[in-house]
Amino acid sequence: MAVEIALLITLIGVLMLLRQPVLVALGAAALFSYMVWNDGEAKYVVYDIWEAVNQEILLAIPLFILAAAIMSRGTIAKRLIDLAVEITRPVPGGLAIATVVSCAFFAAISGSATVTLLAVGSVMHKALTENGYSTEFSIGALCAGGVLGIIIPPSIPLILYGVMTDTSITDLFKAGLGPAAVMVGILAVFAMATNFSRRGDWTLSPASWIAALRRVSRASWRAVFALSVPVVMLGGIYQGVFTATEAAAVAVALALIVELVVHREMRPSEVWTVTMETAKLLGSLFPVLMFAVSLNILLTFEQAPQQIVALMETMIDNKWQFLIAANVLMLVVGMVIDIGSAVLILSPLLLPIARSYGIDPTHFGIIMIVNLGIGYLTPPMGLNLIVAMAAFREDFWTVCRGVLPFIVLMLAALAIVVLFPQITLFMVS
Amino acid sequence: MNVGATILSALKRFERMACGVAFLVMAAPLMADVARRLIVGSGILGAPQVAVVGMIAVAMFGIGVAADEGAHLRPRFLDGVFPKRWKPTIETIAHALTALFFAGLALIAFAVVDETRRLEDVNSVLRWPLWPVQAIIFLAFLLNAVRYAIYAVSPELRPIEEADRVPEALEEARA
Repeated sequence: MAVEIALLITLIGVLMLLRQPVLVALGAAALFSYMVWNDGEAKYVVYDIWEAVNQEILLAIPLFILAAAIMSRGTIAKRLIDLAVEITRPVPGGLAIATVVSCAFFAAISGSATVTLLAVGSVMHKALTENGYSTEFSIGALCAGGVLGIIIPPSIPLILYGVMTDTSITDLFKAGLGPAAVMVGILAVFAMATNFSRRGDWTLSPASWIAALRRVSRASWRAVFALSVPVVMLGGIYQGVFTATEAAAVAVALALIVELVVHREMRPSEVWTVTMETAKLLGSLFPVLMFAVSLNILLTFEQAPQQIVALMETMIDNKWQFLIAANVLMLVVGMVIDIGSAVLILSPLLLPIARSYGIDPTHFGIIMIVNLGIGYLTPPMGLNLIVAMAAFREDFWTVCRGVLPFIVLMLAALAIVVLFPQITLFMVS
Repeated sequence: MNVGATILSALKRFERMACGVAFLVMAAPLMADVARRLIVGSGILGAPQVAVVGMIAVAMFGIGVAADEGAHLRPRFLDGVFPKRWKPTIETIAHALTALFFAGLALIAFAVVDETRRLEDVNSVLRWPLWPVQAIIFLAFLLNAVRYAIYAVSPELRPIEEADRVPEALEEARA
């Protein structure tokens, strides 16, 4: 067994050395694993790829990404960001806080950490660096703010958790709001504290206040239709009018109407460009997801996660020990496996134990997503790090240095979410 | 235009068109389903299953769209291990290896599609045979094997990786 594992690690190392994409490294790892540990039957890799993509619940993912791409291409994202900038302008470090708030606004549309990072980052990275904020801080804030995309509903990992554990997706979406507010608060306070020397754009004169109010009301008016998209989408889900997938389809339709008919700042021909951009994003993300799911199906078949959980059970006496152990496990898993696969594998295995210690399934789901969300920021596989590296053309170490303080903040937020279930459950029936 | 460029251009057109159509196949039934349910009170039977077919096509043909734009995620922290002058050789090996990977997967996928066709597996709701949809997976892998084989033998046709585009453009401008 040890020889096979060493061979597998060597194979992945050689492939990375030979400049192979993640999908090839993961696919080769899946093929190797199936050949060695599954009676030499490589064809099951393709069967599992088929199982991975042939799921209705996944429909929400391309549609939310398409909706977010339309809104990023048009002016919805820009209008939301403008509103956030105007609201935070008088505060010290306002632009940094605006970045966090913009991520929160956009998270309510996108459902994805990466899309939130890209949509807000495309505007705010340049604005932050041009206004003297350090590259490390800008990238760290955007990467961490991007994680709000999977905590503020609609969240794709929350949908997966709901499906796997038979937990109400509507409850999960409601439960995400409190922890998201905690995270926004912590990130905003940090942004202000570290950039306090960048004084806000205000004075004590009434004229200054009136001007600021005018700017805010103008930005609010410009953003009113942009804000209507998440309101209709989330309102529809909360009222039980739409499922998450249907809400994603509605989001696409609404985004198109707002951008093409209401704002009229997007040409019909740009819809094709946006569609191709989405196809490109899906084409780079879905195969990674497929091979990750394929590998995880094999791991599940070989009962590797159950063995880990069984080991945990022998060492755990009470709820707090379980919560600490589960959080450590999820943090480690989140560092090496993508959040979708991690949720698919861990949620049905850990939830029964969590339930036996009296932990609410909805609360546990939020703990899991916040925890695994930190994996977006942890080297070497953190997806937001890789995306930020590509999108902002910075080297890996600059990105890593940038996110380090934000990882600590996210861990603090996680601790608060774990210790105070009321924050998660106050809106849940 | 040489043969490789002609083939790549045809692949690009086909994959983009297929993705565009697939997006329609994915989004339109779902929107119609929601609209009908809001208006009439009942949705369209099988609409989500049709949408899933569209999603599979987008995901699979999207691999080619991403490859064409140099957009596949790739860890770059080991790029500095080999001397810079080896870069062209390493890249040729890399593309040949990726072509082999996709060719291998295409072979396996072909066997799976053939097995599904012989077993006459059908979609449980629509009662459609599954193998034509699974054939999309085979086709996507095959097209990417061809694409990367061309990249391996024709360095001038390789896409610039997304992460390299701005720095290279800046270097050119400075030069």
